Amino acid sequence: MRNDSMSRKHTRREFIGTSVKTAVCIGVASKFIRSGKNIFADDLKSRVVIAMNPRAINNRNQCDVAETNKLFDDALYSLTGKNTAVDAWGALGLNAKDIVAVKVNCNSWTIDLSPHKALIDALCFSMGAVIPLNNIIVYERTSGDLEEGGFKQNTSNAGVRCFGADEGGGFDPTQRLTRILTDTCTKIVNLASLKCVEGDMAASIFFKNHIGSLLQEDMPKCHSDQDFMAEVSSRPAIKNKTILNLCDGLRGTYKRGVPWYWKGIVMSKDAVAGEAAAIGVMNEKRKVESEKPLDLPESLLIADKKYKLGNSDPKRIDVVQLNL
Amino acid sequence: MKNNLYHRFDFRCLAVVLFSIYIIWNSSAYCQSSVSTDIVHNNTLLREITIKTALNPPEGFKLRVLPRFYGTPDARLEEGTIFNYINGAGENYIKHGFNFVGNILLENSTGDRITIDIFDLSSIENAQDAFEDKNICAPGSSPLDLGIRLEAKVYSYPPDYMLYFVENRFLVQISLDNDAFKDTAQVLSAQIIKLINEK
Repeated sequence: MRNDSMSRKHTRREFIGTSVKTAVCIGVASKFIRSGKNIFADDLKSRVVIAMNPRAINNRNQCDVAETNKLFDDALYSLTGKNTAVDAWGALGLNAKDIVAVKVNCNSWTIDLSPHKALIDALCFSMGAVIPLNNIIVYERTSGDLEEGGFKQNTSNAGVRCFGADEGGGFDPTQRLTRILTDTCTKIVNLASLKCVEGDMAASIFFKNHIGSLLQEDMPKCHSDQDFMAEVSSRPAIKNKTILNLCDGLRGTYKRGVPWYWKGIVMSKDAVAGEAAAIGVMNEKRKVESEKPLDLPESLLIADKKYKLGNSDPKRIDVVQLNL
Repeated sequence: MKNNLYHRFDFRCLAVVLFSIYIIWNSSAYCQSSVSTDIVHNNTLLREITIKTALNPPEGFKLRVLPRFYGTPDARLEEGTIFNYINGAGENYIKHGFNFVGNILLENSTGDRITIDIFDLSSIENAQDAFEDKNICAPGSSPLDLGIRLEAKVYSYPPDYMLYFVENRFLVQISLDNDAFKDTAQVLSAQIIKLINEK
């Protein structure tokens, strides 16, 4: 009896102690999750899917819709380890009430490297399994940039919305980002193009894509300040809301000003790992063309080491190659 | 018949009047600004060449937007600076004495586009240096004789087609998103060379 009583007392103490420890652990974990920090960054590799489909695009920059859909879907399933769009997006954290901002980079000056509409349609169609299409906002720096990239503006209550940050309700004074990111959306998909710029920056992919999310007077800082470039993606709205980074390499460049139909995409939750892998794709082509390989830009290393935005070390990147 | 002629005449007159007002308004605006007289002169010349080119588009094409003009951070024009137009790539032109760029965007009924960029690089030497800069004119071009001092450079990346040439202090870049119109690029080049040499 006495023993039982002591045992009960002891158990109660143990129970309280365990409860406190558990609460502390949950509190710490939720703090990390809320702040968007990858709590597994030091233990697990970042997965990057490199997927290619030679039937997705021809050599006149025209996409095959069905093959582009297949390219996107297979990459998404491979990234998440799921078999349906609902499950895959669920694994990435997309909920039925979310509003998703898709940042695209329209590059129509001289060579057309704007994102392919077929790929955006594949992305939106897939997300449409979870959220209404009108909850998706495709945006760029300005509505004019979108129109020059071949996209029609849509601010209506039907279909995927499409407009520029210049019509996005202004800019958040603290984060100095478009209010599309800070106020309107709850999740972000970073859809960049595979673009080689050489020099210190090496490439214009996920990090440079967010130049178009900035206040206009801050944009020039990205051209010379590598720390600034990395820091932009550490701002809460971008860091906490981004659920997917997708690089359109159906047509990209492997050296400055020289296009190439790579016919693939790069996809990752980790923008740093995704960009490092995309530069690796360029370097494979550069090797074939006897060009000097591109070094990883300093901004990527800063994003990894200083801002803890992901993994730049190849040893900590798990690359999954899909050849359709 | 009479009505048709009347409408055509009316349209041309209206277009000329509107563009004249546009040129005068812009010139006067910059005369009042703090930029030097020399730059005002250069700027006006670039505007004249750009607007006259825009006024005479190739058959089947029309202006998608009014011609746009971009300056330097120290001498912004109405659309801003070169960085507002081509982002970081603007540095390459700044290195070669960039003053202003005039941009024309033409489009036909099927959505094919021709982009013309006329860069004023301050001097003949600067323009020629820029033409040899691989960050502006990437290796891999084919030469094309346009009857000017330096052969033009042609880039064919289907469906894109680009023709770059230098005349006087101007570097001209004509970019097509459909190479079926490459002959049109040559016609436009001849037209722009003539306009530059008239001045």
